[in-house]
Amino acid sequence: MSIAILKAPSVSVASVDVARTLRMGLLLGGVGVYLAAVGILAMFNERWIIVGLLTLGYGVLGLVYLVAGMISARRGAGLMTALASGILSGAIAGLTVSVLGLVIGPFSLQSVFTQLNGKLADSLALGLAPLSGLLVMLGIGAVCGAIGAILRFTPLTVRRPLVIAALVTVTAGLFQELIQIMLQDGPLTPVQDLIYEWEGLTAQGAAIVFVVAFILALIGVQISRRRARAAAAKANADSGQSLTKMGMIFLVLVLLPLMGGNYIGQVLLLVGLYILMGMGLNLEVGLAGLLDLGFVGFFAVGAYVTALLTANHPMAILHLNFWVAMPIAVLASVVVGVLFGIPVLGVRGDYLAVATMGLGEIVRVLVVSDAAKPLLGGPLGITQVPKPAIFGYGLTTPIQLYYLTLVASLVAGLIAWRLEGSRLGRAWMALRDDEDVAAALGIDRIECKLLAYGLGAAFAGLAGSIFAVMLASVYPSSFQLVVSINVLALIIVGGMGSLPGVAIGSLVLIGLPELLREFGEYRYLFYGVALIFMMQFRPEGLMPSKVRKRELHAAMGETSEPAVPTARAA
Amino acid sequence: MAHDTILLTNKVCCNFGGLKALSDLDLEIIENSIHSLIGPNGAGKTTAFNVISQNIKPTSGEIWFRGARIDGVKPHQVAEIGMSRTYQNIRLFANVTAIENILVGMHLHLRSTWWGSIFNTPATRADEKRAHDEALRLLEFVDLKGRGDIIARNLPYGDQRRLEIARALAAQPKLLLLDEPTAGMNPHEISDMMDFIRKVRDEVGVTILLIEHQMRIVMALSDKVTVLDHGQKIAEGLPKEVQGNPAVIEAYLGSGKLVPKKARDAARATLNA
Repeated sequence: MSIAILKAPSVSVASVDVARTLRMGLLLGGVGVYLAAVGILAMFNERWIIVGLLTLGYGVLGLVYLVAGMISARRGAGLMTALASGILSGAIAGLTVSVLGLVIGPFSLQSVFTQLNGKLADSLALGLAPLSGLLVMLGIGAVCGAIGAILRFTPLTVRRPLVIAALVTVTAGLFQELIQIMLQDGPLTPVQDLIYEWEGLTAQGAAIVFVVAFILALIGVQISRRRARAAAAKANADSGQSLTKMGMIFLVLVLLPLMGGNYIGQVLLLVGLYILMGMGLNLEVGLAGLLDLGFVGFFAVGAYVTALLTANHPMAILHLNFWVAMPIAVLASVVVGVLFGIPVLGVRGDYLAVATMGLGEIVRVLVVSDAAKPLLGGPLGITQVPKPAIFGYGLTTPIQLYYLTLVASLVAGLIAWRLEGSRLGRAWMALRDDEDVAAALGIDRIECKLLAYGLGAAFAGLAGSIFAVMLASVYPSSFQLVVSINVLALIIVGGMGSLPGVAIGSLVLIGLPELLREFGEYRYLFYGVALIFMMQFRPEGLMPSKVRKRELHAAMGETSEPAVPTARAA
Repeated sequence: MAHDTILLTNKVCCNFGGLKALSDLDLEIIENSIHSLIGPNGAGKTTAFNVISQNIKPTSGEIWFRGARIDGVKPHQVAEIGMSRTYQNIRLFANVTAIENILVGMHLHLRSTWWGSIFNTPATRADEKRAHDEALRLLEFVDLKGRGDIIARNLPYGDQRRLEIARALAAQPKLLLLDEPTAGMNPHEISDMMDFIRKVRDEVGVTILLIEHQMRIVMALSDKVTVLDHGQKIAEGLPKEVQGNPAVIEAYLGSGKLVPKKARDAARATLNA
């Protein structure tokens, strides 16, 4: 490589594909402008990653320039050419963003885009005079572009640890409040003093975190490579690995609230409820292949039945103990699930999604309706649902309820796992894969589908029951369509049909946005972007099940075996 | 109905809009025989299979299977009475292992319930153990011993064909419908498959209804042949009788006016081969 550098920089630089590089630079510059115009940049600039040095906003801008460099550098062209295009496109992206800063004032863009104000112009000029700000921004763009180009040329074994280390550092900076709470007053206080100050990471702290994470990731990548090689030699070895994964996730889930306090407990409780619902929907979508967008209906039934049976409220029918009411609520959800399944038995695929969405909405509309008002309280809901107790020991704090949810999730996970490998699980798989063949083999479609709806609804009902206790009240506004979409999205992101995937998906899609509440306005924007990226680059999900992975890769024509005619060819 | 008739169809019609895919089909299949259904492309052979297995409801007519009238009942109930089938374009569960495919086929004969599976009761475990043993036995029967853990999609073509038959046999049928089991095979594989089909009939004791294109196979295997053309039965009988039937030759080769005599003779020679 060094020879190439010495040999002919002039020749290789001349071979830069200027039009393409310009296009990429402008494109990513446009992304930067967009981020600024919708206000994400300004909001991100309020948050330090490294105190006094780097805000989240500038970090994101840097990432944009880096991506510009990365995609315009092409490996085939040689390092110098790639570096030149990286620098060029990074600089152009930087220029585009700076120019926005320059034109904000003179063209009074604020009247069109409210976020484009003087403060943003200042921050885009990096607090310097306009012209020098532009030059510095240009330089930053060029440097980031160059880094992007170089990254393209680093081998995967180094690049992946680098990316992981960067991510860990950013996470350590972003969640500093939480992590500081976890670290303080314990044996780890010296670590806290070392890397954090009041508002975030210190420069030396960031360096330490980055280096440590890099080294650990480097080792981890090596180990996982070796293990992958060993697993490739021996087929079917990854079942043990997924059990360890499951165990590790579980351990994290058990320990997290111990360190984090009530706020974390609150977030985790929500995560746990979504894990429970995810386990249920996973039976329907992941195993039986029944796309269900009305899942929130079962959740609502579980919550309302619990409230009606336990609340100290005039609307309540009985004042039962939670432990008596919960099984009844679950049972009611199952009944609703089966009733709900009957009208959509013959409906498949996309149509099923739409039909179930309608059914889910019916539940919500019924609850808010005037007709049901005397029974369910209409929009005012039912309040004063008492907290449960075990042997006189009240489960009142979010953390205690969280552990209740965790136990319920474990039971749900065990049930789902047992069912997956059972006669019924195989019948579901057959139905998902080919309904006609399944029927020809004697599988009763109606029975199997209704079982999927019923069992799936049971988990949602359980989650609803705990939800009612968590809020100590139920309102119809809690049971919007978006809950169903969230559950479906977390299954897709985690990996369809995969139990650890449900936990991961829930942590990522429900936990993270809760922790980043201040960016709440943009929550669904990030959500959308994350889902698009997921579908593009890892459609099988973060932690896919084996069967799903095979299905997807078969659909994309990536069979591991060469030229074996597939069954579906005709 | 004679006591050794396993399947009887009486004036079965099946229309798709204006198209008469089957008209007035009468079939009688004798227990323990190999009965072939032949005819040119589009003659309605696969439609006949779909109607017999109730994948498609017949427009009119009666179908009797093992003494029960089955037209209009659900496909899974037909399977329960004892009918299994394979498909022209192999329809395995491609992304699970060979053995899991067979286990799905055994669905009808397993007794474990979903709650039994959840609690992993001794009865369920015994049932699963039995199922696994039986599946291994079936794998061995179709010459796939030791390949049970291979993903179905990754099996060679011939193995996929036999696995599909094994899955059908796992349902313990009395009547097995095979839709072009030799499609896309070379002569060597074809003769293996023919031996295999005979073996299935003789050792499992199952009646076979076969769709086949290649005369050589039909002639060698069948006890009785039914010829379809444009959804109608145009001939039926022993292979030899059907072979010389002018209507059959016409259906396969056209009326002959546009085909030169030499080509016709050559084609007839193939038919007789």
